[in-house]
Amino acid sequence: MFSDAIQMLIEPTFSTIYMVVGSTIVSLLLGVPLGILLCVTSAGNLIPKPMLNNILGRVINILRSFPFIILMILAFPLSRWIVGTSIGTTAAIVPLSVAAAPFVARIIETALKEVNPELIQAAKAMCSSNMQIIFKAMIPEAYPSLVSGVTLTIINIIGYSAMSGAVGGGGLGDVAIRYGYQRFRVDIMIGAVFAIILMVELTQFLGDRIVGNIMKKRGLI
Amino acid sequence: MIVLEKITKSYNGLQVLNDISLEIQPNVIHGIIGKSGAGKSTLLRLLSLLDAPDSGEIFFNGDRVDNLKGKELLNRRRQFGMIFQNFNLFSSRNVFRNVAYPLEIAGQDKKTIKNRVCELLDLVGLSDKVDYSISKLSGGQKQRVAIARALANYPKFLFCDEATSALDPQTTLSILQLIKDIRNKIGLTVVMITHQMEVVKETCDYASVIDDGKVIESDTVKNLVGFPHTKIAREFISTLNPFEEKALKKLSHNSIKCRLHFGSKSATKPILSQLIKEQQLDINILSGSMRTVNDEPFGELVLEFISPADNLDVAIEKLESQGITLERLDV
Ligand SMILES: Nc1ncnc2c1ncn2[C@@H]1O[C@H](COP(=O)(O)OP(=O)(O)OP(=O)(O)O)[C@@H](O)[C@H]1O
Ligand SMILES: [Mg+2]
Repeated sequence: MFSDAIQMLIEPTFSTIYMVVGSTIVSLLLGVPLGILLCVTSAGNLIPKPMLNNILGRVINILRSFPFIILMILAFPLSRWIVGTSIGTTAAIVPLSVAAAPFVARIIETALKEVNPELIQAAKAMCSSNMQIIFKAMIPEAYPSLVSGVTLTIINIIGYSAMSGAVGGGGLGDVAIRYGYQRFRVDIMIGAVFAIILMVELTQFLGDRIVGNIMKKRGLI
Repeated sequence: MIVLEKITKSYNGLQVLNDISLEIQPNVIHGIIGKSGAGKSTLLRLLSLLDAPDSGEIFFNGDRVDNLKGKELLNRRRQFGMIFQNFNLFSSRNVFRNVAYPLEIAGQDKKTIKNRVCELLDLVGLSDKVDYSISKLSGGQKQRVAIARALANYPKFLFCDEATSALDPQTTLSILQLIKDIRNKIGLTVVMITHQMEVVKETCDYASVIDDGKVIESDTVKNLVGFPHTKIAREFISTLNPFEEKALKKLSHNSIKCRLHFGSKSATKPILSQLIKEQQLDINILSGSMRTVNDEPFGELVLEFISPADNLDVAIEKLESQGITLERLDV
């Protein structure tokens, strides 16, 4: 019975990992450029564009304030259009990415804004182009906060992915509801929850480890 | 030579610089001194072409530069090196890669970068710290790295904004010595912004005093220190610090207190003792100091005269005829 539960959790675990990894990649691809743009176009920063910054900020806030469950349903047509279907793990990547990208953008923006403005001035004084300042000065300087931010993003996505299982997204959330809730297989439900907790812990551990290593290399701890 | 003509600059309606005219000779160390908020950093930002003046003109060796754009501006700015009060080194890069940064930006190849960085770290005496992380360095070492980085692309001008203000006196001296050595070794015009007269006296050949957005005095440091004309210049040149000033204020108010500035000629003569004998003066010495400026002695004395007023006028005349500048202190 117990080994049967584990057997039944293996495939959904991989589905969840697939969803999480896929959504993380897509949300980073969308969110990182947005975050950089948000930071550098803010007043007093590298390329001040108050208008653009304002509009961008508002759009991101609106996206962020949508409850995920609503976003998932709203994303059905979008999923169908992009991946051809609105159910299954691949389809779930669409709402997960849409939900995580604005979060990523804000995290990247905050991390980059922490970089000392005097340092940016110095980079400018050394004839760096704006691109060089962003990629050779700001991003490397903000690396520890960026990694912490990405860790947090992945953990959020793991949580959301469990939720998306409830509306046909597949993965551990799906199994927990179908077997654990609807068919009273408590062992499977506990197993699924345990697997999710394990994933969160592992992500946090790895993230902290990477940040620690960077800080150590910089002699900051 | 750098020439500034009638430069003005304001930020949000606040006039920071009004009518700055200034000449900076080639291969000298030129100090710019002024109180906090006098507009020194603003002036340096204009000089380094990071910002443009509202009006007025800037010339480098006769070429107008304040209106340059794009590639021309960048080419001009490549001739500048800059160091800062807080060093502004990259914590994401070790010593080597900090110095390498401007070379990477300029698109040099790996081998050139390696050779140049080693050369530079040798110049600033940090060859043994190549792979140190920045946080493991002392303030003085950080400023040395910053100097190496500033010199990477063979600049013709080095701009220093309060480069020693975050350092202790001993380290300040060693950094100033390094800047002097480098200037002598590679021929470089150094513009040094500071609010410490000590720094100017120790290092600079020329200095300008700016106050309220204007240059109020500009001369060789020797002249400026020996014969300051304006009150603000005297205040800066004075070694009377606020603590001494406070102590002076506690003394009796019905005596006349003066500050005497001795130039290099008068500093070596026993003028005061002669004066005391000739004029039968009673003098109370409150504080005094001596230093060298470009290896010549300069002195300052704060005296309290306890004598009839007519004797005093003769004494003051006598002192001034000997090249001593006298300043009545209103404490
Ligand atoms: N970018 C800016 N925007 C608005 N105001 C500015 C700006 N830069 C400087 N100022 C103002 O100009 C004045 C002079 O500033 P500046 O930094 O040039 O002074 P400073 O002589 O370097 O002072 P300190 O010795 O404190 O460094 C200050 O009142 C400052 O608030
Ligand atoms: Mg300043």
